[in-house]
Amino acid sequence: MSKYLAVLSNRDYNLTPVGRHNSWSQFTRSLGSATSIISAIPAGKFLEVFDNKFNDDSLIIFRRCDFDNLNMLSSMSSKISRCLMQIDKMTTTYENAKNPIDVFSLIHEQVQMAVEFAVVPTTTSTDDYFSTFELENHEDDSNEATFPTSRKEIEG
Amino acid sequence: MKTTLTKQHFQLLGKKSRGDMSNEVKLDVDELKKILETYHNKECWTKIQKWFEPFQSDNTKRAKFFAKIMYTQDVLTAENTNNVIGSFNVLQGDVIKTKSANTFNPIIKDYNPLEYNYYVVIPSSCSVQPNRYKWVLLARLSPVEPLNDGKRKSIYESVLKFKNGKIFYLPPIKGVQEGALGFYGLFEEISYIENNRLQSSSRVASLSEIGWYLLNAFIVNHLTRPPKNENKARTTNHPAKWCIK
Repeated sequence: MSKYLAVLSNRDYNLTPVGRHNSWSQFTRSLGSATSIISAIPAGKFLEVFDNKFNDDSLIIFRRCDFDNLNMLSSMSSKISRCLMQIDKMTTTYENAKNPIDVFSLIHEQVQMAVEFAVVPTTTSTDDYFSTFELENHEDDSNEATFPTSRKEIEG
Repeated sequence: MKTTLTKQHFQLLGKKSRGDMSNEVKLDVDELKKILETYHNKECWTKIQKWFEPFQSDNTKRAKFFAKIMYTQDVLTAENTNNVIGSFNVLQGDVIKTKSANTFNPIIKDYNPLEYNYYVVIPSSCSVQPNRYKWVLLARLSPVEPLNDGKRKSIYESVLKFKNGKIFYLPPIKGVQEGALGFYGLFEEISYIENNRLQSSSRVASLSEIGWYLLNAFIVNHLTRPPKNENKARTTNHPAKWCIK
């Protein structure tokens, strides 16, 4: 059983691309700060970053919320900056990671209100990686478990 | 602000009068800590999980049990409760149907702000009476989708086994077509409604005594469960017995 739950799909987010960078260093040169990311990615848009280090995958940075009318809090700004630094380190981790899903988890821990980061395997980009979240220590016993299939079974 | 000490204050401090009182207030901080610890632990939550263990992994029977015990026969009104708690419009744990509530940044995207949605009222009953709080916190109810894949099954099971700190399960509601397998009360989202609009919302179910206790146990666990050793991280150097002059 997967410990990841895909609640939202690309379709649900209805995100549209706003740009593409062909390398991580190119991206950090132009949008390497929290404020520049906020202004470059409007709500509902996503930006894609490719890099050789990601193999065939890409890094997606997207915004779900429209915070344009709010002053970005300094705490949020520093969180996003920290996240960028972590991704920077992650590029190496990703290259060496035995299990890329651990890296996705690493990034999803950095989810913030204004900006979210995700690594999306390009090859399976129709999948639900835009917003997966980890369930809390589930037991792997669903195979033996029984589940209701209709209202009648519950209300009996 | 000037505080006037009354006879009762002196008695509480073990003094008969102002003349008998020194300037010191003696405090047993360790005792206060022990009192507070009784309100801040996982004991109730763990015991609930254990109580439900006889169901093992038979989630159909678990759901059946919830369906039988969670709600009152009818929505509670002042009349059908014989006015035991006076007149009221809404109570804690009521399931309401409204278009007037807002959900900020929904986690599960089955939410359309222009459509009717179901919510459970979170604050205690006295807080949600008219002209008290201006805004009232809600948890949105998302109908459980058909359990046809492993991911959905695992969530459903975790919620029914009280192993999920952010989702509270509510069984199907009589007369409500949606939520044939029940609803997930989403505490990870922020939903709210203006109090005067809450009063005019349609109430579709009220929680029974057990249902109400379960909701409150969930809320306590959701809001206050202490991570391991958090108390140690917060320990400050104060004396067990304190004397404030």
